[in-house]
Amino acid sequence: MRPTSKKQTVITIAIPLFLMGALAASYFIACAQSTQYAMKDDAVRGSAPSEEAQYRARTETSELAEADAEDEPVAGTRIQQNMPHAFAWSEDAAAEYETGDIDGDGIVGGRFGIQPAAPAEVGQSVGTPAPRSKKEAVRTRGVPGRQEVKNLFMDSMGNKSKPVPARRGRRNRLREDGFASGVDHRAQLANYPGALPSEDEELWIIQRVTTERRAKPRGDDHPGCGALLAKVPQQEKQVPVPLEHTAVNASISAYIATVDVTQKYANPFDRKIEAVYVFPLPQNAAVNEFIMTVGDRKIRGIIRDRDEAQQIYDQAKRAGKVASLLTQERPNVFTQKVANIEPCKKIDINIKYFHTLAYDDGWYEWVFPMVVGPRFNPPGNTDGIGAVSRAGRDASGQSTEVAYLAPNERSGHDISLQVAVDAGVSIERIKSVNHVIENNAGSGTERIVKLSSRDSIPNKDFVLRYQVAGDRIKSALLTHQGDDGAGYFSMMIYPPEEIGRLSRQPVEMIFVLDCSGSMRGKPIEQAKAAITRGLRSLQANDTFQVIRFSNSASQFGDRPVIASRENIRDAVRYVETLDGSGGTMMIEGIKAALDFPHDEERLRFVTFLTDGFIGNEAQILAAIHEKLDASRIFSFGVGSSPNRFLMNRMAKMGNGAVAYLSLNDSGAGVMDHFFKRISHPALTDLKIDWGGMQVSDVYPERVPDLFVGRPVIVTGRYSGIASGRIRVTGNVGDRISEVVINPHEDRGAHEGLAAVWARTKIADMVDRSMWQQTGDIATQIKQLALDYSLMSQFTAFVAVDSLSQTAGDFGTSVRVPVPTPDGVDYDTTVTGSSGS
Amino acid sequence: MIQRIATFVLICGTLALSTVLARADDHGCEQDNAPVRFIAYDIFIDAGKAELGAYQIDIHDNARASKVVGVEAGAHEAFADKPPYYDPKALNNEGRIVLAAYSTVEELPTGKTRVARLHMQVCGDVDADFELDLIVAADADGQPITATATATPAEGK
Repeated sequence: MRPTSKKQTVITIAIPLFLMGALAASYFIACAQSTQYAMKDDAVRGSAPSEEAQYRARTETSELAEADAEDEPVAGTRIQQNMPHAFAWSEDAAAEYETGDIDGDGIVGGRFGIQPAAPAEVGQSVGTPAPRSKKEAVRTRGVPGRQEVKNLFMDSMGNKSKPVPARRGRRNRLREDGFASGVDHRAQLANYPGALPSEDEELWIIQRVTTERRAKPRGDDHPGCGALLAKVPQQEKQVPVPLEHTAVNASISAYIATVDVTQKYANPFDRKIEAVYVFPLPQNAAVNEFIMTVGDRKIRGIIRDRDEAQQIYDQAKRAGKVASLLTQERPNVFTQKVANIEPCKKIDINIKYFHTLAYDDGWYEWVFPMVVGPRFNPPGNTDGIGAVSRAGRDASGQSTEVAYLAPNERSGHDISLQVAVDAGVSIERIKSVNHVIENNAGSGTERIVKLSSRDSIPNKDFVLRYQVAGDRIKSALLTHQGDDGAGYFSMMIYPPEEIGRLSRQPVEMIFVLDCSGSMRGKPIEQAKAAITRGLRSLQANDTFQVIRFSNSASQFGDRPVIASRENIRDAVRYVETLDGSGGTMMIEGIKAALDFPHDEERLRFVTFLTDGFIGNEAQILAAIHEKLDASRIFSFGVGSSPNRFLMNRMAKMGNGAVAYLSLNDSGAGVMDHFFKRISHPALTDLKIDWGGMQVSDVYPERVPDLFVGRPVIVTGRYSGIASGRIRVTGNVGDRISEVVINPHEDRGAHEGLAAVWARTKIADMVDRSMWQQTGDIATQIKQLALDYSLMSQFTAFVAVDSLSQTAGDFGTSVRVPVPTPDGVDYDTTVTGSSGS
Repeated sequence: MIQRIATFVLICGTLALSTVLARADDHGCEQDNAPVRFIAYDIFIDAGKAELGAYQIDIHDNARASKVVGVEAGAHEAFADKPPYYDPKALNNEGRIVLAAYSTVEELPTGKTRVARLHMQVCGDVDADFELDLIVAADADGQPITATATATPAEGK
């Protein structure tokens, strides 16, 4: 062997090193291309913003109120554009004839699928540039036998989409070109939306600066885009919004409501937009249906893992498809996004949900919330719901933001509402608490109520109350046979009559008043009137305390004082001095109310009077669970649009009850009602003997105490036939009392019960997760929500119109600004307002 | 010289392989840059001379390359008012798309009619591979009828 020279040795080492460097570089370049969109949070992490981050920034900072700027081309984004796809088949001509696919344009006993388009003949693989290893196709199987069909049909008719074991009939396979033989496929493809001549060609989309651009409302010289500008008094500024109208159609049977909400979006601007709307629904709403209507085409949305749904939506949005996404921010706060609404185009979103009604002393109450109140978020909290002005995008620093119209602004968004009530028993009285109603048609057990067109501004909760015959209702059981063959039930347990004849023991009454800025004005006056009546309703052997909180908490006395005439007089004066200002540090109120020793001689009742406009509900509920001890919490939701989720959860967690004090209610009357309830002992430690029913998964797991006039609802699953008598027993002091329920009195099927049960179970799991580590709660909730097609914090509905193809880029993101709730001061509650 | 050429070829081969591997990571919609396309299929049922009052169809993607992103209503008024229901449990647990609908209108379709349209997202550089089973078809009285189901790529709106 020839000795190797020094030069040769260097070359031998250097060349491989150089090539290895090139290898590494090429690999990193390839990887960088594949991950540039995935680096969503790189800006936060400190690295250079990725395409996705830039995209999001552009989308999220685009705002109508921002300044104009000329569109300029920026760096191009290379997108691999896939071919439109022709149809490909496996084939068997004889089978085609046998299975009836004679006309040749469909698939019988075969496969359907997509393939890159290319001229092809029957029996050949098609594709460009080369046949793919696996063809997209569908195999269709034959129909089952007659009896089986009948059974399956009945399942289908009765149970919507009940899955049945797929009957594996004779498999007929066909292969067929979806296009007619001899036709120029490329010419056909030219008519396809987004068609390209070749799969391997690249489409360069030139992105334009969107950071400072804005969509402009079409003026009077551009009629025909809908009338989103309201006819308002001259002094009010007209604000164009992409949400034109909300239509609510509800039907109530027994104590279960089925509600259809249709949001009508329309683009009044001169360019394509994405509409973003944050809106409320009842805190116990089981949202399980979502339909997007594009033109006259109705597309059912699909429930998905939340992140997955978000990703599908983003990809569809980038691809120019009309798409919509519904996410849950709180059990009673949702975000609706609709992408790629072209100028003058309209898109409807229909949401369907079920929920149970509240019942109190002969009155049922049905509520439809219309606006999310402006929430206060404690310092350091970023997962809340921020309240910002229309131009104040990202000003709150919260993950969800609601944009509010200034007091002198009005949008054209209005609302219509109709409720059909079938109470099953005679309806004696019916009233709307906050709105004018009309067409109060019907009589006897049924009524139809409509919201007056004179009261169509969505700025307060619609609250319908109706009184049914007699002083009280009977405990009742509702059942439904679900899609999976399992039975679902809901049972309303009404307290036994005799506890209304017993007197209560002395109480230690703690009034806790929210004195934050959002309570200023009529809400706090209402609350003060209620507390004053409460103080005067105390008995001589009771004790009491009054606590106020806003940024911090303070109280009337060092400790609870005897309810003497003098003490009550001083306390009333103290209450009169209170006013609303500052933040809502409710945690301070919780500590002040629960962080002192319990008086063993008395029952401790803690009454919170608040609008609940906070963004850190989980922290508050966890604190209540930790500090509750022997206290019972009664929450009073004050104002026109209180946070009903928080109010209900506080009462539930505090073994108490909830009540609402709207701006049109009498504060004294609501407090009288409360004292009437606590003037009798509760039925505690409830136990249920289910008789012949085989029940499982009953929620809530711990049945709450029963108070006079206030039933509780439990829901669960059962198997077999509901039979025998159900007996509910509990303690009233040292006595045992019993309630008997007859399952045979069920009035029929209640299709919403499966969703109501699943929703209740999810709520129970969420509550427990606040103080208990019980495995992977998130996974369990997600699985349940997906199985029952339910909205949750971990699931979302997404719908994409694959056939749509809008021009241009992804458009401008436009939020739907909403009015502040009736009675709430804009200047003290909204970030970015002149007063904040 | 041969040694150098061999080294060069080896490195070039490795280079090409690494690029291919990097691109192979693109499969699946979990990565935002994965090739994604949205497509739609029209689902037809041909009931012949019988009136179609109800149906149930089972669709399965063997390739697991697609996701259903919308279920659209059919063309005939009997199935146009509301999109068919899908079974969330079957979709969530088995990846099967089970569609079902029924109609109570007076005039039910006969012959071949579009009963639904599936909107799909296809992920990655692979082909979807669907199977379609007509589980049941029945008339207005709930009686089973002989029918066939077909599917074609949807065109236009």
